[in-house]
Amino acid sequence: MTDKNLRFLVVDDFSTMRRIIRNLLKDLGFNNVEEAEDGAMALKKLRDSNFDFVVSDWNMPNMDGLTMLQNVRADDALKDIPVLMVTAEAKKENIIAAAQAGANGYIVKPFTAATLDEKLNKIIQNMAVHA
Amino acid sequence: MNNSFDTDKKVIDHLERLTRVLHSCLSELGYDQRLQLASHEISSSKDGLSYIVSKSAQAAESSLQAVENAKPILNNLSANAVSLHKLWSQIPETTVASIANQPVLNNALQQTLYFLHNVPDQAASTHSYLTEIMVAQNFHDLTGQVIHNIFRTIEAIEHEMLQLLIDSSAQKEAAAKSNNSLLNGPVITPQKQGEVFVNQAQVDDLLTELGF
Repeated sequence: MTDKNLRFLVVDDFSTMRRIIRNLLKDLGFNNVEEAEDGAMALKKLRDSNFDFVVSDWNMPNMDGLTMLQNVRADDALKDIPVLMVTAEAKKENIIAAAQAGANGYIVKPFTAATLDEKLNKIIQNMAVHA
Repeated sequence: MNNSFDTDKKVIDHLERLTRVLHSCLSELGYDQRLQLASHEISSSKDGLSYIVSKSAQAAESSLQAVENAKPILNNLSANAVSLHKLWSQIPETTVASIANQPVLNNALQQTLYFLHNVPDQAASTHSYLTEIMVAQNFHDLTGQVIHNIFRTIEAIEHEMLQLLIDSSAQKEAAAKSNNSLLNGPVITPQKQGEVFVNQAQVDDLLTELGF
């Protein structure tokens, strides 16, 4: 049984994309969603309060998604939060770099609602197993 | 030491001479005017791109707003149909039997029940079409990133236009360098970009290979 109270942080510099992901999460029953415009703001929010899940873009000003992910994994208080990358960056090197940095999933844009649903559930199931 | 200094100086002198020749050739050909014209064209291309960005942002935002407005209406419609169906289904069987000999009333009852029964399914299909419309708005993010990159390129060209003649080799180096970056934005020409993954299945395969 998925906990619908999971607290999400959606990180993307495009407000349209944040809104789309927020709406998709709502359709999946997750209403506890916050947003951040870039990696730096996301890190601040993650450190200031508790989040259960991060959905992040890669290419953003100030701090990109990979750097944010590396910072999250290097921070003892944050290192276990699942991070799902949703990005237009689609080179083999990108996917390898994200996997090595500790991403829990990788979705290439443009994506479908079904893909987000599937990857999200896979990660949430793994969370339950390791909890 | 002295030798390499002499060589450098020779190269620089040669470059200077070449540049002067090139400059006077270009002036004779009227290229200084062409450059002026080009600078005007560049500026209006930038305006054009800004226009595309703002119009597509508006279109995406209003589509999202419409979808967000429509979904609760649809959910209400579905919930109301369910509760109305329940109400009508609670009519005692004896009452239903008593109108069996009134074909008009009986027909109206059966069709209403059938209609109410089907509303939730139809609302669910409509809901998923609305989701499709909503997700399709991510074009704004993708085209926006590409336009942003083009915009930056144009700006760089604008600033470098005059110097471009002199340090073209440095430009080539910079271009080659940016190809190895991890920040490339959406894939617009997969055949030209080496190893890129344009669909989710390819990404999944690679992640599986990597042990995910």
